[in-house]
Amino acid sequence: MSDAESADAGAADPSEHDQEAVDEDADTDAYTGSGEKRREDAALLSGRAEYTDDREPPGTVHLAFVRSEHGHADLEEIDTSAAEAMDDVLGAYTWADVEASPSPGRLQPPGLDRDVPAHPVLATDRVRYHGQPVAVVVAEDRYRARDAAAAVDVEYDPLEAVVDPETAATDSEAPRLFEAAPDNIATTAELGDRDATEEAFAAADRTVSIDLENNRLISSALEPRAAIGEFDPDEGFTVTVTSQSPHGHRRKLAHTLGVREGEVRVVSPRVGGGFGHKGHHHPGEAMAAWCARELEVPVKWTATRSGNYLEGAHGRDHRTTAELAIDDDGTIRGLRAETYASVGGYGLGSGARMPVRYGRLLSSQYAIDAIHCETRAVFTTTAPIHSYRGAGRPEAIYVTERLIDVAADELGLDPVELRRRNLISPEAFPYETPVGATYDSGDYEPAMDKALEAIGYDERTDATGADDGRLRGVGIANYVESTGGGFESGLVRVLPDGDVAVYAGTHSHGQGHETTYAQLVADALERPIDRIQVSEGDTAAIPTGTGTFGSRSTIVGGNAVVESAEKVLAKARRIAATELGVDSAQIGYEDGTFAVSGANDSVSAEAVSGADETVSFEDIADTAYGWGLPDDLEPGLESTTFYDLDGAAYTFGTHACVVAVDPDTGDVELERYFAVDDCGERVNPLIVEGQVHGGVAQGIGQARYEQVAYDDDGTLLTETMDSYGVPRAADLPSIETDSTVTPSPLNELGVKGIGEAGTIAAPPAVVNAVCDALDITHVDMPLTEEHVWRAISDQNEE
Amino acid sequence: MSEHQISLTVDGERETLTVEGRTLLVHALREDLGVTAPKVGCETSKCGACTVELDGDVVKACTVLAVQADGKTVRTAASDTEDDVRSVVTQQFHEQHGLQCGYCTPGMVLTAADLLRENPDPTPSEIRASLKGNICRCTGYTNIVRAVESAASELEGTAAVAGDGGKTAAVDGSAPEGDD
Amino acid sequence: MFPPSFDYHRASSVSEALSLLAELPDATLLAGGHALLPRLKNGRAEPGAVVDVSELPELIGVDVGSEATVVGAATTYATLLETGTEAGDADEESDAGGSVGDPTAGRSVLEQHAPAFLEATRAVGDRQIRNRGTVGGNLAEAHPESDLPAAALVADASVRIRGSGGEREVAVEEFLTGAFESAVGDDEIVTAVRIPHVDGWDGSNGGDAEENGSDRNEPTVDNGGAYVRKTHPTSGYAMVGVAVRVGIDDGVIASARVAANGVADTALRLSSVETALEGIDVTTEGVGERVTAAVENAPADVPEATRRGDVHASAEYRVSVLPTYVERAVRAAVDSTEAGSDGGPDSVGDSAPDSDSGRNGRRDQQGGEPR
Repeated sequence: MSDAESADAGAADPSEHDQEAVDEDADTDAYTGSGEKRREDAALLSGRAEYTDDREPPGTVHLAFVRSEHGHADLEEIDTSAAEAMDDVLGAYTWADVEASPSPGRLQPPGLDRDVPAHPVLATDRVRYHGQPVAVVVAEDRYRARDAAAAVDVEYDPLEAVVDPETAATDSEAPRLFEAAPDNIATTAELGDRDATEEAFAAADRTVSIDLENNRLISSALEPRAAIGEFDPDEGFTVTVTSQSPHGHRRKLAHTLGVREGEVRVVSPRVGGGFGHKGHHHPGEAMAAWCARELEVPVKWTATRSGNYLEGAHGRDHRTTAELAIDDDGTIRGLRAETYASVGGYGLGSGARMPVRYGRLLSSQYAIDAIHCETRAVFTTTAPIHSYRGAGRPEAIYVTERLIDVAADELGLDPVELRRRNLISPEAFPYETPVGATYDSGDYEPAMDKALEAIGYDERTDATGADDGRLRGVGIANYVESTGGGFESGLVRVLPDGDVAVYAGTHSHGQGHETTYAQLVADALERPIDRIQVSEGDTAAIPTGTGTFGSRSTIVGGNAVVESAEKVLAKARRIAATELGVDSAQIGYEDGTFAVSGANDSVSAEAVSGADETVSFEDIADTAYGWGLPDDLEPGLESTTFYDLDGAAYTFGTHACVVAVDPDTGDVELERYFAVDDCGERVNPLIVEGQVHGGVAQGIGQARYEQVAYDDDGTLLTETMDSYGVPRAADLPSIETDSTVTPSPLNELGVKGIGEAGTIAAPPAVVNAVCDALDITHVDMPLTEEHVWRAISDQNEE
Repeated sequence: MSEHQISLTVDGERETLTVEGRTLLVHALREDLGVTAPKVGCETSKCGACTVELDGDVVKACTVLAVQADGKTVRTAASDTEDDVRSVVTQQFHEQHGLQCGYCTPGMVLTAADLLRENPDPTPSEIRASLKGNICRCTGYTNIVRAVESAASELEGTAAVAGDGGKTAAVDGSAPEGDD
Repeated sequence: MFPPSFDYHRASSVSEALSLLAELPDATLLAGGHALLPRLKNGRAEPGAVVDVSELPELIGVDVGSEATVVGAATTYATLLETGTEAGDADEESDAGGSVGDPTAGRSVLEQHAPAFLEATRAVGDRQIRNRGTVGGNLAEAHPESDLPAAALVADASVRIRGSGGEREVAVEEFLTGAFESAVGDDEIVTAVRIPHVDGWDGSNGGDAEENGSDRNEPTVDNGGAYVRKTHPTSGYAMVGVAVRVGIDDGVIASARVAANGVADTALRLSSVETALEGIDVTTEGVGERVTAAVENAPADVPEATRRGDVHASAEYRVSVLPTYVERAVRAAVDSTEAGSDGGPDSVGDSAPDSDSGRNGRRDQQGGEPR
């Protein structure tokens, strides 16, 4: 840190630098703002890129889990003797073995109201969801590990299951998961002012209400989770793991294994998608490490697809009753929501607390005087719930954006007009909502108008577009997305030859940080981008950071590396001043050359041609690591920033779509999907657009195809991609995009996050469109043919 | 349990190895030969991450026994792109940002190239239908379709795909358009 | 998701495969692998031995005869589509006599005689699966949601089965005995699927071609067919699939074959629909209503006890929408005939079948990807 501080001390006036940065953005040569093609692609396209399972340290053996066949059962007996007797089997372990070891063997505690035990790495005496790990076996290869797992004999005494959170909390007959939670309620939370909301409802002309199910989902990254545990008695653990958050995993693994963080190195190579579930800590990586210590060999665990689907974490799974208080002129007076959110069979880390905060986005883009949200997080005999792309944001926006369409229908108002009348005005920012969110900046109407124009909203007719007998509908959804929570580390290290190594505590798993960060640092240092290398994913090399989730990397990681680059440049300037024998205030810098500048005018290439009056960036780098630095300067040329945003940056936008519904079959075609997103300044528009595409695809997935299903016994029915509906190419429309740019005032770069926008906006946009087509108030997701057909049938019966 | 010695050519290298009868081709490639371009995604023949060319045909290596590949030639996305179609497809995936995490990409590229060899000028909906066996969870497919389209346009000018790609019209299964 | 251990044997001939099946305990056959390997991986099958017949030359090939086309059981879907759509000599002859706009012009023998079977083949799985999976394996698996069985039914196809006692031929209707159950015994092998060429207004086959000297490579009737399906929302199989073949005589449906898969434990003929369709004049006003009326009772053809559904699409739903898909398939089949393509005032030509390869509504018409 002393390095960073000293660099700070010599920095030019930061506000002055701000101005420079803005000017650079306008420069057509700037990398920032350009659609720079991704640098990570070559390795990925050729198949050379290494993911966790592609690595195989010498002597690696393989771990397989024995998983519960029941949703809820007491464990009577586990017999591992047949497995242990098999050739090439190194070990078979149960909770008894973990308990006898130095490791506590429970994942980090969820921090709930109720004092319930944390998730054990292997079941103790009861299983609380289908697929919960019961035992592990370790064998020479995957096939023998499979055979050994199949040879473990487990006796269960099945118990009654409960899979619906509302039933679990309200039905007195429902089975109880934990003694300490007699009503299965893990935690309750309230947001907003109950009394004020009641008053608003009493004063309003009307109330509309809706019952919603936010369907349970599986993130379904194409790469299953995997880990390789290695243990060295002198150096501790090295765990290679599919992680979105290497430092988070270091901390959590240390907890589970009962060691100090310094004894754990976490390495995360390429990661094949995450969407939340690779930020969570699961038994897999803990048991790979635990077994590596037991057996003194590298132990690899790679989840099977069904293992991945069984153990989750899953996402969403809310049951909400919501009401909107509204005047006849369309003024929204108040909103209230009562939600039962599933926690699953155990609180998995902070996942169990997600429902507590979900209501913070219930104001969406609207000025609503009073909002009240009451949430109950409920244990059910299902896989744990944790963050999945959006993580509470889609649940909240879905409530509000559906309610508004219901209200518009009730009032006979155009849903767009109703939205327009209640938008927070651009002058109102920063805007504090009644549920505790402070929106940093926004200008909602232009984005909405862009989307409406693109989709031809004003020209739409109720008549079918083509005379094919199908019903057309248009749906729109406005959204806000909170981005940029938590701190992030960014280290910029200039090597002696002038190359620049950038390290960030985030971890790209498809987001293109190698490119985005390189663009930012190349511009900040005015260096060619090919002299910049970006590294992530190794706790031994990278300052402690937070990770990639919650649409946070560019905003906190990006600002961290830029701030570090600025500090480095300030120090370089001081070295240059010494070299050139002037004050650092007299040093100008452009395109890799430091020069003595005139008092006020900026440096130009022509003006710095004098041999004694310029020094190159490379020379400064060389000097920084050589002899002859002035006494008041430390050697070295690097800086680390731990960047923390003051508040959150609120991305927003409007998504609009057109659907055609076949009234005979319930078949829905998305004919158009248009997304207008405002995430402030765009460092790399190509990557931003890609994030929107992917988010929208997953949002459409939730709206139309995806549904985790359990039967009444708690057996997971959607265990593979045969039965869980991850969208394929032919299931989706071509996703069209546009943007507006409202910079965030909270950070130098003016950026906001974009990773989750699509998963937030698409579900209400699609459901609104289908409801519009059918002229109904609601149909629950996913809008499978059958759900839509039933909605049509119900309507015909009325 | 039976064991079998098999020989196959993988990305131009002649390989001989011993496998169990049950060993899946994708595991033989990845575990025994260290050829990790094909990935394991779904294990149920749905996702196509394990796609390889087996004697020139794209197949899912999770649904082929290794012993069935005895005497055959396997090409993965890591093989030299000696054919223009795949190298153009690969380039266009880069240009159009047709990949994010990259896990589906080796399989996706092989399938897309296979499509263009057969049908050099596919419509967007034909492209989407042809990629049914390859799941991408990151991109939403929009840029993948763009990449295949631009690869097709780029290849159009070249004679590289003449071959027998021309007989597509006659085998279109839909009824001929009534032109009266 | 790893197969359990088994002994693997590659048979060098069908007779060797039969001996292996008889000798080895718990032996099962392997061809394209897309039925067996997933079941091995998910623990639903644990054979002691696997006998690979995927590369037996005697099981591979498409033999276009004068009365029937015989598809070797281990012929992949891709090979069938490649060879089954090559326009043969017969087409050139028919071209010579055909008028401009003749819908049969340039069609291969199979396209003329069993268009629904080819469409269904195109709809199976995906590119990779069609390169590997086999026609015989498909029928032997007897997957209730698979595409080929319904199409085989309307083609009046039969399955050739060889056992130690010789070869027998079983009509597809008798071959499909239940969900994942067929008439092939544990120590028997499906060797081929025989698709008869259409001959006569009743759509039957089997007349003696040589006797009357007709060229059976060319249908003697105005024959059309279609396969229309709704893709299952998750599995990619057919949630509802309908295959139709119609023969038109002087503008009237003289014969109809209609079969569905996805709705019951086995693909099945919808005989009341077939009866109701026969006699409809497709060239006059009101054909649309007549077809709609004819397909109305399709659910009655699906016995309650055999109806099939799952969490994504219940049996009730599938059966309820069956008439709609039947109607679309019938219209597409009629449109593919010479009579239907004339496009009268009430042409059914705008009735796009809503089969698709994905689930985004009607984006893709007809089964599978265009070639």
